[in-house]
Amino acid sequence: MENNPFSVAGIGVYIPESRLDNTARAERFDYDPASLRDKIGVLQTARKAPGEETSDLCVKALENLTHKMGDALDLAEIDLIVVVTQHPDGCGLPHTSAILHGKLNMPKTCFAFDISLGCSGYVSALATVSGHLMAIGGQSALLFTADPYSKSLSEGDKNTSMIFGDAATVTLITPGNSWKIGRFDSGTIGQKADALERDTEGVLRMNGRAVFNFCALNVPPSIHRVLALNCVEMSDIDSFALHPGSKYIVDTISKRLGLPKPESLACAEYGNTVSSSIPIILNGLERLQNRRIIVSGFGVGLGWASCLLYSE
Amino acid sequence: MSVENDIRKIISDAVVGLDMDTVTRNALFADVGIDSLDIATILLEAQEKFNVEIPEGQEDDFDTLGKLAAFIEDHVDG
Repeated sequence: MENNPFSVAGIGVYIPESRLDNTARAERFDYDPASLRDKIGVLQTARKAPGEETSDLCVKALENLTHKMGDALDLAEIDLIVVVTQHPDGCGLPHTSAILHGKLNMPKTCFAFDISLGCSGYVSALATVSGHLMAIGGQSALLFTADPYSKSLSEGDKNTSMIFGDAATVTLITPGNSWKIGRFDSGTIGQKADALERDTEGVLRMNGRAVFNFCALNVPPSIHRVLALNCVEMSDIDSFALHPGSKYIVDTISKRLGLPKPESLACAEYGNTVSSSIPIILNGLERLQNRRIIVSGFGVGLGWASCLLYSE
Repeated sequence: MSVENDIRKIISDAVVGLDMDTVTRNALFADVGIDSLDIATILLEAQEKFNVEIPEGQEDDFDTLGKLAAFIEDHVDG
């Protein structure tokens, strides 16, 4: 199999400024403040403005990327835009990426589609987007993630409302040497699909133990398979960007991999932003000091996707 | 080592700082400071240790050391 020529060339991030304070909510839920810090790990959750649509979040993420890249980012040269979301604009038809395409005045040669995935969505989409570019002979794509769970959260549900936050990201995918997209491992256990679902009232429901078991049993082996597929060892890896579902889950996966537990959850100040969580983590990493990174997303499906990002 | 002792070891490893003297056979996990996340770990570790499936959604049936040990003793092979 030939190496994937595409890379993560740049990342833009938008996290709404509005926050809900979990300390106050924990008190209301009679939830132990120490457990909030040490197990949930999320102290505040970001919330989009009431009128802000999913595509609006994407536009703001792109503004951030444009600010960073300047003239190096030319929208007229983009062959593909993809939005990973399960909370699309309006009622989901047309697809959010088409609405975004219009808002950005993208050229008609730029194709647009959505990917309906949750926390595994970003990593999985790296494979989909680079594969699509190879198939059409394209050179560049914008991969957006925007899954504002506040659209389907019950703020009275302590299992979910203290975890999820709103955000959006955009990743420029082009040929390059940093961070190149390595080989993948992914899978789905559809028999557990109802463990994380939007119910008939449109409200998110989560079976915490089922999700926990899924993550603990499937993510560490997936990471070991990715290491083997890419011919690298654990000791070769500079960073592990594990989806921060909760501190307890990251701690459990880290323990099973023999890694040190992180002191705090990466998303402590804004929440689990679903498919945006991993690109937000990547955005905070220094490229020269992080030449090999394992990324792993896992959740809705229940499914996972893991791969290696590396610099030559 | 008995199933109950094995489970006590699992609990001790899973719950940092827990006073194991309070974990008697009939003490409710919730009353001794073992929360739902700890229980998820304890049940998963017990599943793996004894190769017994502990049904998801029935966590409330295993709210004491005694109940969990009895379930495993009933379902473990041999």
